[in-house]
Amino acid sequence: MENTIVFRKGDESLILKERAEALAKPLDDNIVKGDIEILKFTLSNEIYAFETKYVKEVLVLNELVQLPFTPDFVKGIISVRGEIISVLDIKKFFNLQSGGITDLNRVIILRLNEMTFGVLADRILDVDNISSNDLHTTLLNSNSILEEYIIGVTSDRNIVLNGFKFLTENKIIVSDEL
Amino acid sequence: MINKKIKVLIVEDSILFVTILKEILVKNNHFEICGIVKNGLAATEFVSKMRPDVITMDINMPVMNGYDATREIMSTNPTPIIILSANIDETDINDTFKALEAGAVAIIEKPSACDSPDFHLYEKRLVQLVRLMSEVKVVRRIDYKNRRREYISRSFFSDTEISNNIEVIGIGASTGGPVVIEKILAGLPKDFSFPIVIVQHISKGFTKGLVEWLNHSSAIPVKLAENNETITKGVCYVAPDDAHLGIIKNTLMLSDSKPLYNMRPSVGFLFASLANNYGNKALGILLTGMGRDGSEELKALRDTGAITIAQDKESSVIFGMPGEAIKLNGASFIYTPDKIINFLEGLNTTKNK
Amino acid sequence: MDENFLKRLIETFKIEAEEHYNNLANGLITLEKVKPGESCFELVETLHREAHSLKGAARAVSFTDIEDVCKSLESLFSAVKKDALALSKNVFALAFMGVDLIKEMIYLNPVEIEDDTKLLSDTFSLKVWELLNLSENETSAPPEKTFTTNGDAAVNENNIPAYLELNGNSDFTSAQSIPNKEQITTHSSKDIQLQENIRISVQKLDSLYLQAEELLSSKLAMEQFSKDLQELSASINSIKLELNKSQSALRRNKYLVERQNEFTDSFGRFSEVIISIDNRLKVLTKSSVENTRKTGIAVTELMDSVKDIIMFKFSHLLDLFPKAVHDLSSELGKDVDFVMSGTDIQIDRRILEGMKDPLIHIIRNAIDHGFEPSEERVSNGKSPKGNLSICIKHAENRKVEIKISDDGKGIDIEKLKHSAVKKGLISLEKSNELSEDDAMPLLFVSGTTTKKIITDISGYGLGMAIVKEKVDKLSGTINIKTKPLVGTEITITLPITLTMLRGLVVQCSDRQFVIPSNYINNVNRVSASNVKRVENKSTIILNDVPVTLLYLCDILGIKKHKTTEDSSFVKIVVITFFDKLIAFAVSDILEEIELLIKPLNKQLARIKNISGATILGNGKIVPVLNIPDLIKTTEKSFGKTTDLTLQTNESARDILVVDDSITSRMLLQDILETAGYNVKSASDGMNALKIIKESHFDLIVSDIEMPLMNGFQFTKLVKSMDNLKDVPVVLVTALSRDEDKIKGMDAGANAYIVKSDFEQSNLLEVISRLLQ
Repeated sequence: MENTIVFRKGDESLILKERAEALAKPLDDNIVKGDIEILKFTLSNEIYAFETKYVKEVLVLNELVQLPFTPDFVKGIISVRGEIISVLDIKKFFNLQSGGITDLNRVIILRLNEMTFGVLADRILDVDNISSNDLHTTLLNSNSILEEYIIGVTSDRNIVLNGFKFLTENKIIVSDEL
Repeated sequence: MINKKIKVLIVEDSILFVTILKEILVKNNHFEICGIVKNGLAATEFVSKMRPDVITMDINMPVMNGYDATREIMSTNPTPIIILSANIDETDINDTFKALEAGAVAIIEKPSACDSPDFHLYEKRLVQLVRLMSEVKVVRRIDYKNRRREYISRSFFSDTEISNNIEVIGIGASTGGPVVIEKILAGLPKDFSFPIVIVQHISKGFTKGLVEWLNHSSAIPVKLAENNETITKGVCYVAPDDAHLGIIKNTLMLSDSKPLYNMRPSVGFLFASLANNYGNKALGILLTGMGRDGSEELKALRDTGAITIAQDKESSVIFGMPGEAIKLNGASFIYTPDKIINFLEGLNTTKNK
Repeated sequence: MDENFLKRLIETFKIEAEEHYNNLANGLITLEKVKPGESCFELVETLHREAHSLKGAARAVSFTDIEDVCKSLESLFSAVKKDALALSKNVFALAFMGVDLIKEMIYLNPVEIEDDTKLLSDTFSLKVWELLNLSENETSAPPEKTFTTNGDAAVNENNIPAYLELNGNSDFTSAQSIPNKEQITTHSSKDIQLQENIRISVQKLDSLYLQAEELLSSKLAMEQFSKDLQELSASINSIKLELNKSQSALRRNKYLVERQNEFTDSFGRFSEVIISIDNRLKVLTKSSVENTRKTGIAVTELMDSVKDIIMFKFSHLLDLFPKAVHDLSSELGKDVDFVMSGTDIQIDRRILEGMKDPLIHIIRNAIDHGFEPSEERVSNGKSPKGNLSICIKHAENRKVEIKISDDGKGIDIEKLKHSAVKKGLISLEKSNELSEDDAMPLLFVSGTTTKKIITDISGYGLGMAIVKEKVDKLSGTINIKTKPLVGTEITITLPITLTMLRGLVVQCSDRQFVIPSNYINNVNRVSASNVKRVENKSTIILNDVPVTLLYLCDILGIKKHKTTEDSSFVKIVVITFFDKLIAFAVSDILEEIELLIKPLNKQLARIKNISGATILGNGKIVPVLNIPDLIKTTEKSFGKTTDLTLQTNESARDILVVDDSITSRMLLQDILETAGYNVKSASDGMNALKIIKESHFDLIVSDIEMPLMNGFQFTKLVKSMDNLKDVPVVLVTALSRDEDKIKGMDAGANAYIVKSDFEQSNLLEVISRLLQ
């Protein structure tokens, strides 16, 4: 269940078709079957990824309803087949500058057991297999908070995010007491 | 081509076990679960309206337990019944064997440790048992106790030479065996002066229970055979779980050599040991059971000059083993259980004269 | 066996195990009540069988710990059955011990069972073995049969450990849709029914319900669609009319006579198209209306059926109570007789689930504080055993009433008032003015939250506030009647289903929100000129009563768009809460809807002022406001509107709380906020300094033992800074030694309060004094 990626709306059918064609291509002998399967997406011209085992589905963002009294990074809520799910802007969570034009019209629904929420993305790229050897943990001039949430960076400069950390981190939970 | 699926009725009050049984049976394409009921009474009513091919019956249930249900069903709408017994305490075991007495055709232990890697072995056994039992033709049980015993003419036993010669009696049985063995042991005179060695095919874990159960009604003491034990006359030894039983120079030997005819203990092993070490000093009796275990070996025993008996077709729950032996001409006599008792009585009287 | 199946199997086992456990527990309790001379064979037989069955089931899923306990229990019951063992107090205690062990183990996987429990289990097996092997030789003990639940004696004999404590937070996730104890006792079943009752997992039920709700949305969407179609039809109609008019106008106009044919043709074609569209539209509209009607009926029926499934009998929850009362009574050393009635009444499963903790809490209170010791009762002319009862009955308006009564010593109103004054909730003068009935609400007002970390501080402290909050959340009401020495009666009224809610959709600038209708008194429109402003509070007169007016947009932090709002009138929604009236001004009032409140996902564990969201017929998601929260929020910012006036009425002062313990921080924050202060908190001295630099504070409350920088260092630092040295610092700490107090004074603290006598000391009084 956690590994399926479901595309919802009609205009996704193109992507679906591309995907089907890609999957139908025989595996290149040179491609080594990797340890991790990731879903790649863009966020202001950078490529990020989550391990597909935490991705429940991917949707087109339709209507996002804002909620008062929520921190900056909670953009609002959407309904997914009747279930209310919050949508987060991870860049805001890390206090990164959102440079560049962002479409932010895709939502990646992450889930682990009972915890679930959506993450905004610009474009969904594709699913890839990478080997854990390919992940380097050094790098980004950085923001130490962001580093905690990264599993590593691939040689293609794709930033693989730590889905597990996101889904189990207390900081991400909004819990206001009166 | 698989024709119709085997219709199974599950009688079980625990949802947990129903779930497990369903999973095992449904996975296998041969079966169709035509009903699930929670107690013996519902089972009897179900059977009177629909005819399942085989029934799996729990023993311990409220309202009406498995033993009573078996009795009821076997006397009104006889159907092959497999008892699924928890086999962990006295009452259960008693009821389990009583159910056999009442006509159930087989018993198997309830599944345990479903998470163990060996579980698939249990699944295989269960599936096989259900399949095989579904084909057994069962007849309406009449209360045995009321039947009159048949007698054979006395003249048959005038041959003292034979009876003086016999040092050991070996009995082998499979499906339907326990009840016949119980009958035989109960019908023996108390001063029976021969040792009896028995190999009874039975599901894992039930041998001890079998021995206890037999002891309730047997005229002579029944015990589990132990390695290196010297056999004594007037005592009955039953082969334990998972070991072949042989006898040499009046000493019991347990062997873990590979299964014969897929069985261990194997009747054939016992009979072969008798043929090799006793020849015509042994008496071999092959009772009801499926398969061929012991059939050839009975013939081999007969060939050494020993007297051999095979159970007759009509009284056998499954005529496989005895039938095969008869086909091979391995049986000196073909007897009903009553006649077997008679024969043994006669032997005893002659010996003690 | 594949993993998924194994998981399912274990789930099934847990459901079955729970049932066996219930039967064992209830069976034992009934057995205890059997009088000497009465036959109890069947009961023992049943107990034996239950233990046996559970043993077998546990074996199948390799839950060996449970299997072992059952083995012992089984032998115990077997011995009793055979009359080899007499039913003595000892035997009951042992049996209960085993049953409790089972309860403890059911919800854990075998690897999760702690060593303590295993040790206890071994002790249990040993004791049973001893009993069984020794009792055969015992000839002197006479068989005793009856037992009253006189827990104290049984507990101490033979060092059998005390009953395991009732865990109020235990999982209530497995559910049977209908209890099937009845199945076991029926003796005949004329028809063949494969299964009269089935078990449904809670997830399936919820999923079904969600789907039915989606259908409801669809139904509403269809209705909207039909309406749209009809409007479209009407538009087409008006085009047709225009066309006709133009056609006739054309014919009359002589100048265009030459081109008339062309126009006529053109018009003719145009007409045809329009007419054909019109016709098709009519057909579509007709079929849409018809479909909507049919779907509407089907959906309503489905919703009713599903709602029906969601209804559980109270017994589903209350069946656990006799045992719980039994355990609690023994634990607390009280002698209690417990009766229940009306447990067959059905209610929404979710409401039932929500009431579990509150009811347990109330029962605990009654047993702990309500009931006097037996001797005292007798000397007051009461029966030695306390009488506790829960009665359920239907109330009007599709509501259900739960009445919990005890004949204990009642609630001491004076003590209650006294405690409220101490906590700074109410002034001494005011408390003297309060009548008994009016003082009741004080039980609930403690300013606490739903966090379970904070448990009873003193008797009726925070617990009841949590109860009230839960009841509020379920849209219920709670009422307490008490008479000293006579007893207490708590009445809780709840709606039968959660979905009986209706809500009002209001517009706040460009956003929409829903206000649950049960809080709405009425909806109105007042002219802007009637709004009076006093300081920063607005009031309007409604029915000759001044009512506080608050602007919802402001409270929710939404920027107002001045566009189309009619500024001469103010649209208001008047809220009733706790006998208070508050008016909320909104941009627009839209519609009243049937409200299905959907919970937010786990990432939004709790948001201030929001209880969830709902999905309108047009698919739009609208947040649902949490009115009690909102009131609290506004009271903090705008001062209370209650009759219980505060000590500090001026504009709110700002206090900084510094403490590394979350619990302490929250506790302090609650107490201070309820008293009307604005509170910010920091988890240690460093953070506190950061915050102080950014904002102004009138007073600082600090703990002493903190990492990085302790309270003494912090105070010294604060007092050394020019801009802060005048800010009073109150040290609140667990350190009670004199030398620590001196250290505190040396550091410059203005007050030093020891945590252990926290409630007794007047933190608020001290603060108020310092701020003057």
